[in-house]
Amino acid sequence: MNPFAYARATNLEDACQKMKAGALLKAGGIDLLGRMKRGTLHPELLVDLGSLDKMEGIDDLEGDAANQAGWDLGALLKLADLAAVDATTHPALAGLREAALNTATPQIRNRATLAGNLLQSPRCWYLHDPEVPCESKGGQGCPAMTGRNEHHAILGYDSCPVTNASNLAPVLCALDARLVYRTVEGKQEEERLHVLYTAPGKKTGFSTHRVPEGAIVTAIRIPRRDLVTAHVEIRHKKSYDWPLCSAAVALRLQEGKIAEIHCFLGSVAPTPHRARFAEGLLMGKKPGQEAFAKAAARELTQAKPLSEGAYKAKMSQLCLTRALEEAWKRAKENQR
Amino acid sequence: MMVGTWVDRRNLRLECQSHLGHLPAHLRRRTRYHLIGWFKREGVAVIREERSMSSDTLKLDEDIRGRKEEGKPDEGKESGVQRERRYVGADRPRPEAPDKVTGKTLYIHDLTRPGMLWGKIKHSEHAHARIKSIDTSRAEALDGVRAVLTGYNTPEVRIGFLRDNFALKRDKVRQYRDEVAAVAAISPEIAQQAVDLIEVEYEPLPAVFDPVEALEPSAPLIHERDALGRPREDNVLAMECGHESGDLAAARERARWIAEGNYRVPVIQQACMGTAGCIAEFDARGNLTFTGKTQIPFLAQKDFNQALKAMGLIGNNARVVVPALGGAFGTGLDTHCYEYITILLAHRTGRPVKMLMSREEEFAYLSPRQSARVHIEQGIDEDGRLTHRKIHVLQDNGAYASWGATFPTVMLLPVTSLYKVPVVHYTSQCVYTNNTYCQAMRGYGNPEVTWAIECNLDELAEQSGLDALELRKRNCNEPGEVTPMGGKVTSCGLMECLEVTGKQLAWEEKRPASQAARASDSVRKRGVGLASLIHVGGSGRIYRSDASGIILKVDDFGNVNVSYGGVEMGQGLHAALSAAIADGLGVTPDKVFINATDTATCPWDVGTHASRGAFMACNAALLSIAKIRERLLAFCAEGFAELLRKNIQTLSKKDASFEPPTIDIDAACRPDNFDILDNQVFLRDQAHEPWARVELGKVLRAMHFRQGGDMLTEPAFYDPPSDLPDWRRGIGNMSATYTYGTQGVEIEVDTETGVVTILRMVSALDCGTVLNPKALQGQVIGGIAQGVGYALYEEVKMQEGRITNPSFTDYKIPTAHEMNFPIHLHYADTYDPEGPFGSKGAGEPGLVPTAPAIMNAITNACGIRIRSLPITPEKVLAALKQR
Ligand SMILES: Cc1cc2nc3c(=O)[nH]c(=O)nc-3n(C[C@H](O)[C@H](O)[C@H](O)COP(=O)(O)OP(=O)(O)OC[C@H]3O[C@@H](n4cnc5c(N)ncnc54)[C@H](O)[C@@H]3O)c2cc1C
Ligand code: SF4
Repeated sequence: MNPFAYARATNLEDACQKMKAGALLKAGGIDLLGRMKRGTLHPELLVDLGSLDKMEGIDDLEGDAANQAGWDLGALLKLADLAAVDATTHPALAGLREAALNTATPQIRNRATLAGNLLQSPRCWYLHDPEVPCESKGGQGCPAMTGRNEHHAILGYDSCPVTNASNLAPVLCALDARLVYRTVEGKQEEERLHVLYTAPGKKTGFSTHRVPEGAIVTAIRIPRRDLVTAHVEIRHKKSYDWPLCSAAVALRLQEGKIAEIHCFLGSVAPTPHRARFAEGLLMGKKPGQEAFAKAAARELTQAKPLSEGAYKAKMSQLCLTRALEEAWKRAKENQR
Repeated sequence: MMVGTWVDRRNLRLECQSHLGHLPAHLRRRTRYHLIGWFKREGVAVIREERSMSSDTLKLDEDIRGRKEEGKPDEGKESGVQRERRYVGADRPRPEAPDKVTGKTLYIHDLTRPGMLWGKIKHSEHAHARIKSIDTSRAEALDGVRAVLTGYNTPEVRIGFLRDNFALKRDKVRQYRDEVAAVAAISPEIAQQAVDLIEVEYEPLPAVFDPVEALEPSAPLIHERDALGRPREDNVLAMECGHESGDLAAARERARWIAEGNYRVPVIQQACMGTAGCIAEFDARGNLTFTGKTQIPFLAQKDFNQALKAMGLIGNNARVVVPALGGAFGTGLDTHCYEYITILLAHRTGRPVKMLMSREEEFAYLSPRQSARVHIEQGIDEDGRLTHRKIHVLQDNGAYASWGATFPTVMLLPVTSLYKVPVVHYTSQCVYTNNTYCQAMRGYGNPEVTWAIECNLDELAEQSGLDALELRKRNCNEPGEVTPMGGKVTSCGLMECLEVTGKQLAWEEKRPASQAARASDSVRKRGVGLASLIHVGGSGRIYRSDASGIILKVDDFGNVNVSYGGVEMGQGLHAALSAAIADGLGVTPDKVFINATDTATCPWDVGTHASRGAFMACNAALLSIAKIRERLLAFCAEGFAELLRKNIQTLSKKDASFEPPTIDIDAACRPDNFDILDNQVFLRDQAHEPWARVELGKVLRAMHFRQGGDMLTEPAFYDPPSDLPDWRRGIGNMSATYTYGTQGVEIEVDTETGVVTILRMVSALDCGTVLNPKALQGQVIGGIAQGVGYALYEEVKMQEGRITNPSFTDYKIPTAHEMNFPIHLHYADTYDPEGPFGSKGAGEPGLVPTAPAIMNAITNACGIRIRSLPITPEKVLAALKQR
């Protein structure tokens, strides 16, 4: 590991001031330190947010009960705390709880933070190997395209088929969550999470998100609580591993029909993949099992798996079907 | 009806009404389990069982015991004395455990030397390329750098048993991990920086990564010349290992059913908790002290001495010291380039140099377990008896030869001897490619081929309609059998293992029920499966000497200091050895101190492999103990009476009510009337009298501090009764005894996701007497965890020779979550005549049959058969789709 300076931020102001060129923010450090040790990241300064306990809570958003105002989740909320939220009282958080509960390992969940999880580096073993050049690291070409690509994208990629690695991102996107952040200039901004994620590539640059450099995420805002969510994933290993595929669904019923639906797939694309076709097929309907399966199948017809990724289309379809069924079931229970 | 009496090997008397006459020869020396099985088959109920100590019942044992060397101590027989076992067989914590759990144990990572430098290696950036130039000038100019070495500024140090590898490569690289340059610097960071400053110019060469392609005449040659400089024509390693017994054509004729298939296993990593590393240091006379992770200190000494010679240090010696190891699993069976490079750096700089592998480096630059492609054909006759087994193994050796290349020699054992098979045809081929070169791992060739044999047997069962467990029972090995390779089966509990596994799995109900439920439309399907193993249990002779030496030194205080050349790497060797010494000698285990393994102080040992540690160490210790007891008791015959009189005097002074003995003390001090137990020497016929026992230390001091005094230090050298096989013909009794076992498993397959969940497992192991149940439990369950990894998760993935998953985030080993199922452990009731206290080796077997047992259960559940490991959800889904 290269030598680097370390500074512990005492409060948000302090953290903002300490951020300068060559500095990186450290929250739980799980992703960050791993990359530094592997030699793919060389910050000059680490600004540690670890002791900012103000950013570790869940706050109700202001607003009256009628408009179903949601929550601000602190950026430094631990995944273990998210895994313990009361999903019975708040069905909107059910999927989020499931996604957090299955992430990584118990040790990691006690350390990893919400913002860190959302902004973690994408999955691609070539990206994390300092010895392998590729266009995303300033070299040329993409070894994954013709090489070992079982974890790579099957949807929505351009020249760099990484996959977004966050378990929490699909369900938060489905809840239309916003990132609230403070720029280096000290301005507070709010932007939709699923808009902030971008597919890396020649045209867009090689970042996987558009959070401005040096900006500090302070909260993740879930605007409303009147949606019901479900998250389903398939894992090879139950622990110390990422899922093979996942799907998150948020929906709202009105008079027994789907009045609003958001579906996102995880582990299949450089960003959480919005399942627009499935959403379109189900919106306004009173679907049954068959319709869910059909909608999921339609979504995956666009899959373009690389040589080792064909299994993902099938699994992803299954995750989406199961997540739709589960969300539907929960929504109906919730109506009663 | 008459009453019959039979006695089992452990002197258990079984009495029953019977029409039976003599005990059939094959049941002599068998255990209660076998005897009762025989009674039952003959329709006799056992009436009474009781322990018998009468000596005439031991006669049954004579035929087997007759084989034993003269004077060799045996359980309960040392110095003609019936001895009690207190520590062997008992659950006891390991002696090294307190230091480990309190963080006091020093691993190579913790060690440091004054003035020590750090080494780092520059590895190849190509799988196959000519080295055009190496520019080290910028590295040399860096502050803090003390030496920069390449193949061009160092003597040529050849390594590997085929001498086809070089510590630092010249001219050409043949794999990604090839070492082209190395640096010693004052810190690891500076060393790494310097390595990054080295510039190497290459001319890429065509490369080959598939062993079948490497066999083609047009394939690029990995080695143009052999070690003697003769031109090579192909990529096949110059090694021959095969076997041919019986008439294959006739056997095929006889076979009613034949099953054939191609099976594959991937390259996997040993994944030790403690990564590798070493420190090399020279004294002013040019002698080397090498401290590092090795399982073969004495063969390493030989290798390093050869290197010293190549370095011009003729007549100098390498001393090898082994620190505490955080697991080895075969990684320490060969010497490695990084070790020679560290030695070269230490020599060049005149300073101690340390090299340590990070996890990623260990994944990328050390030798993993070798892959294999196995073609198998087996046949059975009308009665379900095996007619023949034909196997061809093709191994991708990678770029250089290490012990992975010798897997076919160990495969010989299961190929010829797992179940009774009269006709065996076995061929093997090992071929160079530009992949990473491979070496040993736990089980060494055995799991690779057992995967094929046991899966294929289930295919035969499926074809013939015969129950898979019944098929195995009909072909089960037995004591007294001589296998096609000449393996002499002394003890064998395989039948018991099969029966217990079947019973524990509820095989008779579940197996047919699951098969019938295959067609149901439930998403989750369950199944049961099993597989067996044979492994060397009395060491494995693969080298000219298969011996182990030991020195026991008893000091003035009754402490036993042990110098043994084998390596404790976490497997529990020291626990077994200290219990054996305690029971053998009559001391408590806390009096046993086992020294660090060091070639300067320990006698020779071939290495800690082949599950031989406890078997060899305890046997050697028992030889030494016999000599110590003999000498001690001989002294007692002269000097003990004197000590007893002093004892009596003291007791009389202390205690007014003490009544001095009236017997003739001198007469009581007969040589056969002494025994030692729990650090006390005593008269056997007065065992309960306080005056008749003297603390061992006191006796030892009396022996020492007198005119013509003496102390007890006894070396012993144990060489097991086995043969070095003729590898080409595949003939020879390679082990003194063989270990057997069966594993059974119940699984559930989610047919939509392809995910396989293990519900429970059974492991029945025949390893003779269990020396330490707790330690063995750790070995077996640890083995099963590795077996589960092999079956479902692990694979070193490569793209054109480069490893793409060199870290635990992408290389999947099972965690506690994956091991979260009950495991029923059973140990067969056997006693091996050659084993110390009747025990056989049990280090490796845990992982041997796990994968085929799991696959057989998956087939039972949903009818698919996957022939390449690991069985991932992707493969399950693909197979289900094809069905
Ligand atoms: C073995 C293993 C298995 C795993 N399995 C899973 C899994 O199943 N699912 C899953 O989702 N993840 C998984 N992970 C990833 C893990 O969850 C993430 O690494 C972790 O959540 C990152 O959070 P952190 O707080 O440690 O972030 P850090 O490592 O501290 O930071 C990550 C990134 O976010 C930036 N950052 C952090 N906080 C802020 C902030 N407030 N404002 C702006 N930028 C910020 C950092 O600068 C850095 O770039 C796994 C990791 C491992 C090692
Ligand atoms: S997927 Fe992207 S990061 Fe990975 S190798 Fe290709 S270009 Fe590089």
